[in-house]
Amino acid sequence: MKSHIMSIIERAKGLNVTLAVPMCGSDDLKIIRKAQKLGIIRPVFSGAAMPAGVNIKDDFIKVETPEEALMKAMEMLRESKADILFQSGIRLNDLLFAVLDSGSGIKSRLHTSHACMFFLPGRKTPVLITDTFIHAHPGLTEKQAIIENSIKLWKAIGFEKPKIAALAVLEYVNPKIHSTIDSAVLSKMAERGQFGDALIEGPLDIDCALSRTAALRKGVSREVAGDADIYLVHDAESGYLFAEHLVFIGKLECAGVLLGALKPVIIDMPFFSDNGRLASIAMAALLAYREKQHE
Amino acid sequence: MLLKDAMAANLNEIYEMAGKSPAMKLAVLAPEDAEFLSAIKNSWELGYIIPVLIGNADKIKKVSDVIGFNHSSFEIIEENDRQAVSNKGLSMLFAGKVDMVSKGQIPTAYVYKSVIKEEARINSGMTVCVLTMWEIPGLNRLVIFTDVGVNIKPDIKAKINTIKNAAFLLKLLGNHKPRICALSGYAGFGNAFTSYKDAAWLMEAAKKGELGNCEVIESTSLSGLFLSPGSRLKDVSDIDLSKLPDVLLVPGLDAGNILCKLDFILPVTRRSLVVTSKGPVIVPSRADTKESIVGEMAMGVVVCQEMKKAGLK
Repeated sequence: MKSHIMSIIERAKGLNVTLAVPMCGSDDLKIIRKAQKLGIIRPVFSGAAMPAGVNIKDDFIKVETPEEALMKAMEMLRESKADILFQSGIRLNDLLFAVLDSGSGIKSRLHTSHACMFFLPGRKTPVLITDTFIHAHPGLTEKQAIIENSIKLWKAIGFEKPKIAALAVLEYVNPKIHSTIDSAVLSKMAERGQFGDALIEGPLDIDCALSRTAALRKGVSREVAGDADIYLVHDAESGYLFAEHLVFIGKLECAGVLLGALKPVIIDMPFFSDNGRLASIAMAALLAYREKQHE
Repeated sequence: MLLKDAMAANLNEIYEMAGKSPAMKLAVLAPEDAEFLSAIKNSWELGYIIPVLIGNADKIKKVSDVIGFNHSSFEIIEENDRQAVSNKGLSMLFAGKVDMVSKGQIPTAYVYKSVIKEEARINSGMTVCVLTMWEIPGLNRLVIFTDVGVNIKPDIKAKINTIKNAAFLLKLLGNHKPRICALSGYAGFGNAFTSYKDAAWLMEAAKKGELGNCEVIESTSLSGLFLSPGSRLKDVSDIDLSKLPDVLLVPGLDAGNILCKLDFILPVTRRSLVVTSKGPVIVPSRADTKESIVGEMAMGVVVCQEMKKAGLK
């Protein structure tokens, strides 16, 4: 039986966007070849030596060092010769410093965020959890960007008008708890149309976001309750742990992508399974494709 | 076959133990909601508890009539101020007049205040935190999340107290050296999470024996727990749940609240309680079902009984 996450991969078939792959490892190549075979991407490799399994038919740019391999990939992104950056054999910190360095890189850290995608039991459409990685202590400005990024992704993977749960520890505003204030403000902003075609409900406790019954018992009977498409968490720590628990205790597949940079970036999380990694490429490809249409 | 780690390996064993135990005297704080009072009625019918009802007598009697609960055989203590209701119940617990307490329709913060006051009065050194137990299919023991209710951003002192509280509960349930994982976010790219530094400190403190009889394991994430260093997850069906520790210490309330309530989507069962030095306090959320509240009563009864056996009550 095909898992739901495969439906995202189906949607990205034939997009043929360009994936910049600096310092490709053998594990990565297997996933990239799968995505290539499905017509999702066309890889361009850069590195000091041609990786095993990469051949003369492939686009391979020879450079001297891993740093240059990354620089080459960044250059391709800036010149729109590549549509997605794949972390591959580059150390995470090196990759992020390159991507988030406003001088040589793509865009400022303020506007970037990371989103994870899951298919929850009993739900045919995916959900996004964000921010799962970048902002340790986001303020309202960052949360605004996190939401905008996730709405773009949601629409790119093929859905309309997301229902967003702005999570907090309770459904009342408590001035001592920042998440309750931020969520209330974001909800009001959405009500006034500041996020376009999106519904945001907050502050919402996770039980009300996940379960309509729980929401009704608590007297929170708005449209988003029990039916959220996007879960906005208070900080990256909450988001990361949320995703990890769904993977390891719920045994659910997870895909993810870094958003808000000039081009989507796929960073390597240890808890992405092989299926999840392929879906990450599909998600990034859908987003890159949509953004190309809008350029 | 895995050896059973703790005396109570699952919730059914807890219910069995509670069923065999003599009924415990329970102070009920403002039972004014039908679903909640039905849970009290059910717990009484199961022989878990004998309720003492504190609050507005008229309201209590009205709801009792609605659900067909014969309140005339139970003591009702008239008290209308909501903080006073809570204070009354907790002072009865600490004076040994009741064995346990359950929150009804008053804000949880009032109950925490009363507990803190009583613990300070007897100088017990115990602070208040909420422990959530998960029964996970395929795992022959219960896993605790803490603190999932009180500390918004716990400092190291609060974390130490939380660990001690969880270890206290596990000891009562037969686990004398719990493994604890202090959770943190992804520690890359200058993400200077306080929780990451705290975890390192707690590991050292545990090694020196400063946290009592427990182990704080090296991992600060589930990836670290389930995957060997430098490796990645290939297939979700490879996951071996027996690697879970006994206690997951959450970094703060925002993360803890999400994690402990994932029973709304995952096939796990959640039961929460507060353990004070004089007995358990049940703090049901408004979203909790009757079944869940009765299950928490059973958990409370077992804790009472074990505290009595250990000479702590």
